[in-house]
Amino acid sequence: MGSGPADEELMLAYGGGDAEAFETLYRRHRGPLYRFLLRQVGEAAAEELFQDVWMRVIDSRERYQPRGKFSSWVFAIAHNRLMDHYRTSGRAKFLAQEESEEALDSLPSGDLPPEALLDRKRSAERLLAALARLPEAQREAFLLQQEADLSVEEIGAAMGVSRETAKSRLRYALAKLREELSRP
Amino acid sequence: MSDEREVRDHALSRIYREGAWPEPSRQIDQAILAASRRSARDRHPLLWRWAPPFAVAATVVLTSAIVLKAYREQPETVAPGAMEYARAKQSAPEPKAEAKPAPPTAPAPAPQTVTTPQGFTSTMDAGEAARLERAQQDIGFKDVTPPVANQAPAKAAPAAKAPPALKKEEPARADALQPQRRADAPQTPAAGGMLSVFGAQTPTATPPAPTPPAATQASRAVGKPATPFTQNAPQAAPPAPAGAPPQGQAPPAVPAEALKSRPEPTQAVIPGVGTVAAQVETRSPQAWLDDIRKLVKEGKSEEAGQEIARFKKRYPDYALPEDLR
Repeated sequence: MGSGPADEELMLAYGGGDAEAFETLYRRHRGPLYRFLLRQVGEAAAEELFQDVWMRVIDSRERYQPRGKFSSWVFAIAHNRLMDHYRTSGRAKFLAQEESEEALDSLPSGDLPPEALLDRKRSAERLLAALARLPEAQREAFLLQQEADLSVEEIGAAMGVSRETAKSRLRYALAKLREELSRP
Repeated sequence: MSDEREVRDHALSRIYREGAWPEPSRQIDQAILAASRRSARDRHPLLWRWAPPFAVAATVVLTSAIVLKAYREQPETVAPGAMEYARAKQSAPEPKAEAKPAPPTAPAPAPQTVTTPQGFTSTMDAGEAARLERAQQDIGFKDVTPPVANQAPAKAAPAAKAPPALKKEEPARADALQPQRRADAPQTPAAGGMLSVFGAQTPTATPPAPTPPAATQASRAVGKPATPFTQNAPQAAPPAPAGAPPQGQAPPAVPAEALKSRPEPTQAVIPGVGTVAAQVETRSPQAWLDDIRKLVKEGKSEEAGQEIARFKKRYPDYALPEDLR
């Protein structure tokens, strides 16, 4: 995340009344958190959820206990807020959607084709389009890995699922994205 | 760690980072940072730590102030128990007796019925009530000690009908005193006001007690009546005769027959003293003569003459000074 005090120290300092510590913390995580929300719910809802997540961080500054990574805690808040948003918008099917291991075997595996690596800009656009078509749980797991740099364990904790479930979602997400990029 | 390698595709990650990197708008940044600063400022831990004890202290102070203010304004309605406590405390013997403490045999004060002739019941607090009670006891209003044997000073007091206060507080006693009043008791408004309290208490028919010197009793009776509602009432009623003439000169004893034929006090007012009736009851002969001299000096010769005549009737054996003859 860069040099300087750890996120947890900054959050504790902010709990002690240091507003500058929060500003540093915010600048570190504002981009990843915003993109995490933007890739899933669109710009309008992402701004609202983004503000709401940070206001919850501010409100809980006196109760904060560094039991894990600060980014895991913040993205867990974002996940919960995202679930509320899905429920209110009628997208609750996200909660029950899982795919079997057999289905994963049918997806292509291995490295990306060389042309995808050569034209990265165009490949990025195709990747984002493929990401938008992923199921919500797989997309969220992928975004937590890419934006928050969380491990499989931390992804499972943030999403409220087991480690194996988180791993499965990640594998599906990667396989489908590779398939999209491998198409001519 | 093998799991991490299995689910992490670095080539995909590089392509993902080649895409657009949208960020929140500046307005959102400012709004969130402003909220964080406001929160840090408004709920500073130091202030937050001292807020609860400060709130408790402020609550205690405000409550005490409100209760005290309400008690001073309406003691009966706010804290009757406190008033009773104050009365009990007042009736207890005091180490430094500003006035005589209430005797053990004195009747307990009726709660919340202390009334003054002026009708200050609602505004009188416990301390004032206790003082009034002591003053009444001093002048014999509630005294249980036997009355004096000499009836002359008692008759000298202008008996009048009992004031409303007396009727309200002790109706039975007031009724008992009613037939004992003199038929020729003055019924003037002045006598029925301030002095009537004493007059109503004049026990003309009560059994005689061991007789103190007549002159002392006379001066006591003359000196006390107007004191109950004066500011220095308790202090003005020492055991020694307040109205005794100076240099040990005792006023001449007045026969009861002479007192019976004594004219009623009028409402003539002498400046600085009050009515003539009040003077008759309060002044020593020397003071009375001094007041007559004042009238002479003020050119009120007619009133002075009336006063001299009244003085002669009251004290026929008293030698008038040369200047007033």
